[in-house]
Amino acid sequence: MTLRRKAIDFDQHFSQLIDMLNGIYSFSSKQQQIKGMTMYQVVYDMCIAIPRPFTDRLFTGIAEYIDGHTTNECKMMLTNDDIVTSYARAFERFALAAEYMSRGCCYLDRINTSNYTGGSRSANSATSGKYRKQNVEALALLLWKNNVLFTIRDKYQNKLFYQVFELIRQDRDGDDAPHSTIKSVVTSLVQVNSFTEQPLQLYIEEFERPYLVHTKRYYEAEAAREIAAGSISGFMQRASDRLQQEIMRNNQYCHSTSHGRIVKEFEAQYITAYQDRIIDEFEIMLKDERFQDCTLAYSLLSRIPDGLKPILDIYQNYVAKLGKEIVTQLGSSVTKNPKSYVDQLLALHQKYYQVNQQVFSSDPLFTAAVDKAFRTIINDTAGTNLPANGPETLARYCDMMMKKNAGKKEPAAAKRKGLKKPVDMDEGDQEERLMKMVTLFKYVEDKDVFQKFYSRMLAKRLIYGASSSEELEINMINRLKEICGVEYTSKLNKMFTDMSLSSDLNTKFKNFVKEKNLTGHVNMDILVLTAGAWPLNQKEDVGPDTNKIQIPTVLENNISSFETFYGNQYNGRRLLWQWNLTRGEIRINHLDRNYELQVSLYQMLILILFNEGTSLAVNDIILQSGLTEADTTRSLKPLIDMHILETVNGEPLSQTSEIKVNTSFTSKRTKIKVTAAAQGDSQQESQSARKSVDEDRRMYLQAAIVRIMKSRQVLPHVQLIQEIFDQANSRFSPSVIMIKKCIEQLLEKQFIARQERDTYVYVA
Amino acid sequence: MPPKRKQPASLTTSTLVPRHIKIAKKKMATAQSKYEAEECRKWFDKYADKDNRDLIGPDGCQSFFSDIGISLESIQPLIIGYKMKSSRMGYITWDEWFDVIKPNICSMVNDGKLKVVVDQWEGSVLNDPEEYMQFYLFTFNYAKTTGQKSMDVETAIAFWQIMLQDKYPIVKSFIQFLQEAHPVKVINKDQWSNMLYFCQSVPEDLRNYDNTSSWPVLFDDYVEWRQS
Repeated sequence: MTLRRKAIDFDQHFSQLIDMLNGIYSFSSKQQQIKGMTMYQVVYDMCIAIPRPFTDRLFTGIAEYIDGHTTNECKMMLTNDDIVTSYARAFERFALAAEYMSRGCCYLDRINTSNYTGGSRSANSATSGKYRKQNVEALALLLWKNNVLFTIRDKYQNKLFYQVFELIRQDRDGDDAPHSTIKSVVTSLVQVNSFTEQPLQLYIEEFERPYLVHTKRYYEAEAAREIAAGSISGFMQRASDRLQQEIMRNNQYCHSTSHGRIVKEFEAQYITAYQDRIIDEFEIMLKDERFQDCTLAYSLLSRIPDGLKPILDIYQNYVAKLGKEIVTQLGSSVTKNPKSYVDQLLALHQKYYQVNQQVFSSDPLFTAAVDKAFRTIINDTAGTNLPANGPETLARYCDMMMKKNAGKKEPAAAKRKGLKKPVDMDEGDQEERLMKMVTLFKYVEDKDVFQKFYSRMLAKRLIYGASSSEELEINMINRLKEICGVEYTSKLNKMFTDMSLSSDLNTKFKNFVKEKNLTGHVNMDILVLTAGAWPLNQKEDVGPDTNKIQIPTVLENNISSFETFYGNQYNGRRLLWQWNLTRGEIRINHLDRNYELQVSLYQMLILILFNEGTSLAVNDIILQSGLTEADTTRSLKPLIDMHILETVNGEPLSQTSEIKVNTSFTSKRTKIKVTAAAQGDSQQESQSARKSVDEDRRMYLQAAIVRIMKSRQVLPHVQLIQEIFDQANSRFSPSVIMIKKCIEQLLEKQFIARQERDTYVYVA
Repeated sequence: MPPKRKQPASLTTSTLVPRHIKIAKKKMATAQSKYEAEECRKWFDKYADKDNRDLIGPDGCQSFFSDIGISLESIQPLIIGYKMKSSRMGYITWDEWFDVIKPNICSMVNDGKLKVVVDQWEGSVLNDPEEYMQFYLFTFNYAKTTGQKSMDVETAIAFWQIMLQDKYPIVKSFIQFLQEAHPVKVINKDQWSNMLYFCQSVPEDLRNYDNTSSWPVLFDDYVEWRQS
């Protein structure tokens, strides 16, 4: 072993090298003892020979050797029928040999590549004869590519890959295929190019592209067969299985870069091509609750772009349809029985949330679809069932849950209908129900409508002491506050404050009466309600009619002393008496038993009139009580219906009727509650609530417009509308027309003016 | 007011007046002015209200217009009102009269001549979009009942027929909409001013109507009515 340069005989050295190369490439056992060192020495000697190194000759010699070898290999391969196997074997060996050789020739490589990268020489000088100077391994692979791959491709009808694809087809058909052999053929494409700048190019051209075409053809045909064969559900199952297989196959055969592309091709043939069929059937799947199929459809369609959108729409519409069916079926009973509305919708809601979880792997898109569906159900005002207005019904439901005898009333209703089993409802149950109701409440768009009805009903519960539990009420209000903010519930809270203030006030008033030793007082509770916070019909307290009401003399003392008392307590506050909300108890003495009647103030007025005589004309009643005609008949009606009073000869009540006391009145109970006025006007009541909601909205919008314009001064129309939408959204969703009308009103009132087309300006 | 001391002059024979005569004329100005004012008053008195000598009432207006040969059904009474900056339709005050008639009195003493001037006014107003807009907006306050904020829809229709219908075919169906669907009882100022813009910018087939734009709701309703 020596590093010194010396003169050598090229031919002798080279034939020595050829021997070694033969040994390497043929893997023959007798030459096993080729030592890397020996080969290195031989090459080294040749490369530094005196007087001139034989580098170029050596390189050309090696190249020629490999050239010959590969050509030979190719011929050998082609004698075999099964080219794939022989190619795979030959290539594995060749690649290994090339690597060995390159280790022995690394000194040559170093000279060649350093020349190559030296950069000062032109490309021509780096060429030795017909072979470009490069790493000998790269050279070997290049020659393999040219002499084997391209030869087979160009001169032998691409037999190799023809067979490869044939094998893959067999594999797809379910027959066995030599996976690893195919894999090594395919990877050889990447390997032979590994020294070039685009190592994947050959692979893509020779394998991936045709493979995609084959994949396309194969699955195009298969999908067509499958879809023709029968059920969608079978088809989807097949597609799903195939997809799994194909992903496996990818891992077996292909370079990782092509996985995505091949799966995509598969999806195009199997899913995209037939997505319409799947989509068409999706609703039926839902209807028949074939949830397994739904999952399949979901997992298939989620693979393709925009694939889920149609089924999301179908899903949403389907759930919305179910909901609307429920609502339609309930019909007008909803007003009386909001419970079944809430219960059924909640059941539906729960069901499809579960479906989302189990069938659609909790995909947020599907949750959103159910949410949207419920929004359309709850906010459906277009009239599948007009009385079943979402926000109103929900408010009624709350009222029902929080009224004192929520548990008792229902069985009574049930009994009437001949149903069995009263349902007991304790507080915890109510609490839970209200909590669930909130799920539906969240979908309400017109939160202001709910608020209106809720506060009206709450007012009634509070005034008539009909609320079952304060805790329940407070909890509910807190829940509403959580969802809609403090402002939303501020009035409701104020109502509660009024109640507790009033109870203090009553105690103080009683002490006051005692202290001052005032006489002639009947027992009386007074509620002082802040104007504005309570949703009371304002017209009734300012109307001229109310002033005419003849307050019974027994009450007059109370009222005047309370007014003095209150005036002392709070200077400058004005009391407006809400007679129409007042109730009282009255005792009947003329009968065998002393009945106690709970009546409204109006009824009390009428009944007291009968202290003077047993018979009175309706006109006289109107005259003496100071009530309006409508109030009179409305208050009389329940009294007559309960036979406390009667018309002469039992004729129907009219303005000319003569009313007399029923002297033979009997009842099982001694305490009798008389309904205040005919309840029949709940329709009217809800209409008036609606109207006032509309009024509130207009005010709200106008205020919002002025506020926005004041801060912006100048604003284009579209932007203004957008900002109003943003502001109003938490309360209700205003219509553009409504906004525009409000804008026009403000233009008219000259709060704002048009500046140019589509731009408004604030007028200070 | 820009109109147009020169214009009537060009009507008369003295189209070209030598410079020195012009100067001489200036000196005579006061005397001439006095004469003009007298002529003006004379003419005014012919139509003035019996109870209020400084006002021509509806009857007076009618006979004035018919004397100078102007049809009440045409746009020209409006043009005169516009030129006089009259505040109320059917009434002409002395001041309004004086400001407009006096500069032209020379050429107008003869009843028939005023018509020619009015024709000219009409031409200049109708052909200048800016001026026409002014004129159109003026008409709203001029034609509506004094003291009311808005104009009765019948009145508005009548004026649109006179002012817009010939120029913009869309007006016809708009009026039909007002008469058949009865969407409103009155036309407010905003709707009135938007009407002109609507006519100018939206073609008969409504192809570029943008309902997200700031059109008053009345126009949205109209478009919807057309489409149903």
